[in-house]
Amino acid sequence: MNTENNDFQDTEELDLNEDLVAYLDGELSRDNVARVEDELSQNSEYRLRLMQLQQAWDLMDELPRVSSDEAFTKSTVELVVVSAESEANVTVVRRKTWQSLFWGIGLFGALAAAWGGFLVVGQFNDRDNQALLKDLPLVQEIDIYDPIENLEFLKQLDESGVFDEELEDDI
Amino acid sequence: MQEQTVPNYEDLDPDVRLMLQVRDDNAAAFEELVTRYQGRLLSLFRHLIRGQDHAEDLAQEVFLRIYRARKRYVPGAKFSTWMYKIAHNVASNALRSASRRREVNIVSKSSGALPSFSLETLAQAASGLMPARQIDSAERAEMVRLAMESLNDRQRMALLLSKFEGMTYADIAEAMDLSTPAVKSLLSRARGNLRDILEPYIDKGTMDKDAESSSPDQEQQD
Repeated sequence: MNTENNDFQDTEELDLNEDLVAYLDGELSRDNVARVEDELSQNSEYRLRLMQLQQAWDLMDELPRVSSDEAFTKSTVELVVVSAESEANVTVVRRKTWQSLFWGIGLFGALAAAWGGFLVVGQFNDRDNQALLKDLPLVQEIDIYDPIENLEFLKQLDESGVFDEELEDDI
Repeated sequence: MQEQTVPNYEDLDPDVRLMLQVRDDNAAAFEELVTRYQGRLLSLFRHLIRGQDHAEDLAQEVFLRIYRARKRYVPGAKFSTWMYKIAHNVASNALRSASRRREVNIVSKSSGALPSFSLETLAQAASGLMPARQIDSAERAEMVRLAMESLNDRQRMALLLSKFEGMTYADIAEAMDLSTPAVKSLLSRARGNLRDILEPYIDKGTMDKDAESSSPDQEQQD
């Protein structure tokens, strides 16, 4: 129970401290400003804390401020110029690399397209040759088959095995 | 959404306008930005990271990053907020590297190795350092420096941005990738710690001059 009370007090104190610092920093809402000022008017410890916080804050003015000179400006600008030049060089190299890559890919693409075309055309030619080869026996005997105008009749003869028998006889 | 903010920041912040000229490869505009911000960046890094040379290197790194990012620059915040976001990233990387090398990642004017300080030891040191005489400015500066060293990196960064750059909680939140309530909490802890460490100075009257000069009304205005 005591621990719970202490926790509650700690949280409450923490909130008050946060508000006190925010009050000094001008970061509180109007309502909270009124609350803090009300607390300050009633609580001397709170007032003391406010004063100490402000004094510690003022003491920070004792920290030395660094003044810079023209030499530092010059060296910073020089550093950036060198960086910019190197950046520009990298950009040029990168652009050239991309250009080379572009032309390389273009050339490769053209060659691949040519080779692909050759293969496709070859495939078609090959298909025609295969068809001719398949029909070669028919082509060879075209003079015999030509007078028979009925294709169905020829198919029936083929199915009945007449041509096979003739072929065996020839063999 | 961005289309609404672009003209807004461009109108409000002259440094945004300069940065837009840098985006268009205007070298003079970049030099102007360097001139305007180099001292502030150097001070920030001097108080965050140990060593003058290191602070200069880091400040230059920030400007280099700004220059490299120029073509992608979109004014979505004040220029200083954007720049301190870069500075925060640069400082975080440097502190991580320093931590990895087991270096003391705190600022120091002296070249010797520094011991690490706890809040308690600093407070005790402060009490022990209290002679009857008023301490001088150099001693006060040293004490504040040691007190700052005792804060963690994020507390120190937030405190420096708030104190020396006058940044709002919202701007600090943007620069440090935090929420605004987180910044409020962070600054509260930082200032509380600073007060605890410096309490011996404040309570024992060594800050009489400051205490006298700051009436409660003035404090509230600050």
